[in-house]
Amino acid sequence: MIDFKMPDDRELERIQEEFSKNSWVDILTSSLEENRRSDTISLSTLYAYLTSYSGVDEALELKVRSSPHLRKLYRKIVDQTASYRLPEAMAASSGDFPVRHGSGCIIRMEASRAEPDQIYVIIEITGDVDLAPTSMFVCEEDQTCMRFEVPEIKDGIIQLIFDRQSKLVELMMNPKTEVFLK
Amino acid sequence: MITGAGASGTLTADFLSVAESCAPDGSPKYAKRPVMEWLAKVIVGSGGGANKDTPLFELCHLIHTVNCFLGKADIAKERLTFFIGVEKASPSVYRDWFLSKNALSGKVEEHITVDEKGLNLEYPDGKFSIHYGRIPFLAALHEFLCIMDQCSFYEQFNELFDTLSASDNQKCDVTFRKIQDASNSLSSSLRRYRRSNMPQAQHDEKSGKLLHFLKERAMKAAEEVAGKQGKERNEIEAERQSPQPLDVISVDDKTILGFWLTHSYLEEFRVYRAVFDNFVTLIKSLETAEVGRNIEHASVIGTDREKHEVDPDDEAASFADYGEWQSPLEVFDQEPAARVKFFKQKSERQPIELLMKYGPYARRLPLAFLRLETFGQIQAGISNDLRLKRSQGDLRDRMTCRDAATYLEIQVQLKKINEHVRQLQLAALYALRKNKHQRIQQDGNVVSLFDDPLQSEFDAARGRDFSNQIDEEELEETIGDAQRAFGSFTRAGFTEEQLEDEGHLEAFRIGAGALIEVGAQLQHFLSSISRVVRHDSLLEEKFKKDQEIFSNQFHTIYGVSP
Repeated sequence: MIDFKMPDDRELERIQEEFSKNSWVDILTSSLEENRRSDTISLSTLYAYLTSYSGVDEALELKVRSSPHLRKLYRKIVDQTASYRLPEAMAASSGDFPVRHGSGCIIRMEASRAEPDQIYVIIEITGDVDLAPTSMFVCEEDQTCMRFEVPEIKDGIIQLIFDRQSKLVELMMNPKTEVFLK
Repeated sequence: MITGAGASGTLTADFLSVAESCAPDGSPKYAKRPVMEWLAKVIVGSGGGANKDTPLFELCHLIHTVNCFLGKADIAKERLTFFIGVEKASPSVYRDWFLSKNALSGKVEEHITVDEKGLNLEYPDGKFSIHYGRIPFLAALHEFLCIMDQCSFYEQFNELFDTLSASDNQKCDVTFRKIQDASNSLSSSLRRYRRSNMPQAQHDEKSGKLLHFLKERAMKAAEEVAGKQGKERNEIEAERQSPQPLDVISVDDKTILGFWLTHSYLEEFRVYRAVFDNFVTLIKSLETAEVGRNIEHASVIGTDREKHEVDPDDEAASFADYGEWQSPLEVFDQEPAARVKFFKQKSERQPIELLMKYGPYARRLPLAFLRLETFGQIQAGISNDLRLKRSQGDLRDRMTCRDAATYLEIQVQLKKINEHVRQLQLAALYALRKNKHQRIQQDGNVVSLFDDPLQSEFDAARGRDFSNQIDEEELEETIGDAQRAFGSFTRAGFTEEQLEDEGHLEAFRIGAGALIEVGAQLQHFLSSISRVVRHDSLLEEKFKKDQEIFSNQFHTIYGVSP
């Protein structure tokens, strides 16, 4: 038998507070045992996603886009870990494509001669090709970033082809966006 | 199941997001036990010992140390890599990081020393040490702080963390006081988070019901005593209102069963295990309040319970002693102890999982615990049957409780495992003693494995009296037993060759400590059963009675006619 002195009102308040805390510990620890999943993204998961060649995870990208704080953090990690940073482009004259210059890297765009509805995005690595990127992140002013996987580098050039109406072309046409390669 | 909606959902979702952090091989980055369980306590403000915010203070010291090893230009990036970029949060990963940084860097601040065990910091106004074993815990806390409320504190905390380093080209001016201030700032944000995400009301109702039940029982018991003494109800009430002897509430095996029988019509108390858990939670809370009161008014030692005198008997030990109880089995899941197969999962470990989880609470409530082991399993089966929409016939059959393990069977099984643990202790003694002798032969140097002599530790574990003067003959006999025990195990980790490996010996060294705990817990629980029910036939009788009670109650709760 375990005996306790009958609590007075002041003690009762404290007991209830303690009971609540202990119950919360139980809820949290039992959530580990049950097959429950969080609807948020762990920082480690986000970091691993952004620093490894993992392909685009649409579900994760969607979750990030729905939270302003996560968007900001996503952009911050991309910025901190990128091999090449290409800031805002010089505004192009009408009909031209903007060109972006970064340290060791240039990105330009060209319309396909064979398929006028398609646009080439050409990434030219002018510095150390050992730092060949595998992913491209295009970030808008509101911190929203989109990730695109890029093909293998050949003779210092990475070439991608997209529809004129595609999201990437739309983003690249906007001189206010920033591009990060890693 | 996805968790996330509502205030409490945010807390669980944030916590689970840390738990879901993975190493590249897909295994969890942070150990479920003890790291995540510790984190749960810290988050809600019930961990950290005397001061619940101590872990935040430790974290600030760690961040300061990490900052000192990083290039000032990229401090935020590199700090993020240190905490978030590591593959698995284990002491060895962090030890290697600090040792290699220390070896490479000539720029480390003079006030920090790094050794094989951990980090030592000497500020102008104070000292602090951090062991590598603590860093996985602090890394999990760091990740939680960064992610909480969808990373809304991330920027603010990182700006604060940046201040815990020297300004560019300046000598480090971080003081103990500055660390305290940073820790207070974190603490204040965490308090705000708790207020928004840990609603108390839902638990107040539950604890209110439990306390009301205990008070009613106390009143009833008082009435019975008073009835014998010829007192009227109003006299008893008057006595209860004053701080007099009747102001005592008690929790025992009967209380828990009684509460379940009268409250299982309510959803939150339908499951016996939930009721048992709630009482354990209440006991912990009452104990905390009692500790607070005892600090204000020290109790008088004596045997008059009605005058609230404290009997300094071992069995009346304060539950505060068990405040931080953790299952010793957790040790066997982690490196290095995980290298040795101390327990077979199904036959040697699973039957004692719950006993080790509840530890001293199971020991103080032995019958309530046996009911949990036996009929708790049956009720879990019923819930499963209902979930899978099994037939009424199957349900009816399960509700007879005829498949329940009897208390005697459980007792026999625990005795068997207790003997297995004793053999493991002997085997560990052999492994460690052999290594000790090898070391003496190799370099004439004795490395102390425990604070006390090895033999004494194990004698203590086995419940023998021991002294520094060990009987030579008895020692020889024990060593012989130890060697035989070691040789009798034909499972992973029990070969002579493996004992040559230092990492393997560490597994025995760590495992030995946990085995002492497991053995003591088994021994205490078996003694508790014997104290409550003095003869096996009475234990069998008790089981039969409980079988009928539980069977009837299951039929009532789930609306199935017998």
